[in-house]
Amino acid sequence: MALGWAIISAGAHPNNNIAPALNSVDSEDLVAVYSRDQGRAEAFAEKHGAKAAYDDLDLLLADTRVDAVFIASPNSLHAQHGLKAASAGKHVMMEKPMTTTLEDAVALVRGCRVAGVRLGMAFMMRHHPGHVLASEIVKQGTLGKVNLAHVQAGPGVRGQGPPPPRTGLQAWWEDPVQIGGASVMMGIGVHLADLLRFVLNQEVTEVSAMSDGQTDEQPLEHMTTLLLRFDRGTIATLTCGRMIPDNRNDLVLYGVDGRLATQRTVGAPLQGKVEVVSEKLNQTQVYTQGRFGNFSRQLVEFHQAIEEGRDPSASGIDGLRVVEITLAMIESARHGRTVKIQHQEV
Amino acid sequence: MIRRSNLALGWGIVSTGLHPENKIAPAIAKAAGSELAAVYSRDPVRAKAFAEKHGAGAAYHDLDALLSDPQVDAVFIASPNSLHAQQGIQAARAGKHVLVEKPMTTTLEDGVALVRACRDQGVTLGVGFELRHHPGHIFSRQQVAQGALGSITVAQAQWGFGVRAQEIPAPRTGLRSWWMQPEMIGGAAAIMGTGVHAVDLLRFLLGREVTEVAAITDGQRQDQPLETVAAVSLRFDQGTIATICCGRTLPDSKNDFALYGINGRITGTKTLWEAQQGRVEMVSDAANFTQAYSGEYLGNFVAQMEDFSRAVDEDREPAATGVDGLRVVEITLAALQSAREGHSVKVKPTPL
Repeated sequence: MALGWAIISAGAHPNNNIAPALNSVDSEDLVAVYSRDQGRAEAFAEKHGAKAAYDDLDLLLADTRVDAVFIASPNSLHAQHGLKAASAGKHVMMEKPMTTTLEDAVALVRGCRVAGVRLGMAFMMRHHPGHVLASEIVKQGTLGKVNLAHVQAGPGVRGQGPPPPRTGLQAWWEDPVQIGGASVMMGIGVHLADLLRFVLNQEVTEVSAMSDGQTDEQPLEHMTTLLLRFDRGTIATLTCGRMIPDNRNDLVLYGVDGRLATQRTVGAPLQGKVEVVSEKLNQTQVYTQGRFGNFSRQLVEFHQAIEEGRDPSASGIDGLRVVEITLAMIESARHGRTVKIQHQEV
Repeated sequence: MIRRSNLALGWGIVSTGLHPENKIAPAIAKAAGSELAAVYSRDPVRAKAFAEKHGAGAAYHDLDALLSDPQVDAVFIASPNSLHAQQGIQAARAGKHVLVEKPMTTTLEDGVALVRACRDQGVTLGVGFELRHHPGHIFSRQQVAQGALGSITVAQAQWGFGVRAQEIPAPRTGLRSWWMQPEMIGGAAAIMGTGVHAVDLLRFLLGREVTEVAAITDGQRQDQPLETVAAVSLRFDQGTIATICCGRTLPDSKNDFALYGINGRITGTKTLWEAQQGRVEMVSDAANFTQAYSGEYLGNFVAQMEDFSRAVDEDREPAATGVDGLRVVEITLAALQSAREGHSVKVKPTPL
């Protein structure tokens, strides 16, 4: 049976990506949508064929056709919306960043566990088959010990300096409290941190960040670079920004037995190229956008995880680990310290 | 200080190690306006063998004797890193121009002393940052200076090497064992070997100075003083945020650089290497351009020697000056401090 989904928030991301992705696969059913504005909820429902539109979250969560919620509200509301959904017995797929504070992250992971619902993170880059391949190749030891890794992504418009402030319904992106104390790190960097964790199958132990923000004059950054140390010794760089119009959006893994390098795979669309050069394996794989984009794959995999009674590919713990890295980035950029990460037990 | 005559610049090479053997002596032989006058090794047998092989006029095992040789106009110093300053100062006091291999010095005090000594003696001081002579790098610098990329938001450079399946680099032994001694090499291995080149290349390409440095390495600890892999973040004045990476366990390193501007990008692949090789690609509104380079092994080194001898002739600074050397020493020391102490380090130009 198809899984009944509700989307919380009728913003650009659900409108452009999540609702179309749900509608692109038969196994997923878009049942309901929530917006605090009933008019926006109804317009969204009509456009994407949702059966119900709500401006009251409790009413949506009482709808028995809803099995799972996709939460795409402003970052600082994620935890309370997720906990509410969990208490109502709904599975929770959470847009990144999972939460803006460590306390919220722990509370959400615990809340979903206690309620017996699945918590998944919308790290859709894990579902790019080129990144799945990278993860497998690293696990198989094809590259040997990976000593250095790079990942980079972010948009830009040629000729445009600092991007114009977001306004209207997107104005929360400019509010340090609602977005969580970082801008491009929250928008893109969290994906890159999770992608490195995923392909390396290691956890971050230290973060050193440099940015053009995290100061009193400019609290939110447009550009940042992180140096990361992982727990089995890999050193990595992570670069993201909103002023990189000709970004290569690539991931590179340098192992002692070879290298894996992607081009244009790091982003929302399922596209680009992966090249492996090594002793055991030399291959190039090109990806073209199919019916199942990264978003569809992510939603279908979450559904499978629910049916199989297992954690999804990107779990609440993955969300929590990335919150830890993000908070370390903010502290490091603000204070010029290399921040060691103590993993939060849950 | 003028040279002997309008003859070729007479070089004395200080040290007969691999770098002079494979690159500098052959480059002097090919370079217009240069000739190999003399060579120094503390071991007379090695000095003589090197002189014979490369056609040097004289072989010395006493540095003062080489510096008294009137055929020697300039020295190329390729001794262990910690000896660069004292030998450079000695050469300057003997009235010889000085081209010193990177890293210029291992301490800030040495760096300042060398720059001052050469200035006081009126001799030319240059540093062996031969990547400045790669035509792809020169092209990229010109494009940046002309504003073809707009302001540069992100920049990267990497020079690594390694041997597949070799998890730990083979220890350097014998005459190269100084590479394993923290005091002689200057407290870092990969950074001193190739990282300094990547740092200077970004300074060269961007035409800007570094103001802040942060580093994470697998060394700079009590139990492993010398790193094999390093990643360094650099903040440049006017805002570019950059990273450089280097390592000795990166057999498939792309040895690339990238400059991302708000109007386009320039990338180089395999240009950070000894040979004048690789490819440079520019993508922008203004121009789209790809150029491959032949792989001439001595190309950058020949250009370096020719530039230095012209700089002496024309009484101008060479492509990489003593001040460039000093700036890179400042950045390197900041990176090592950052790796050891776990905080970023602000860099200020040392007064001269």
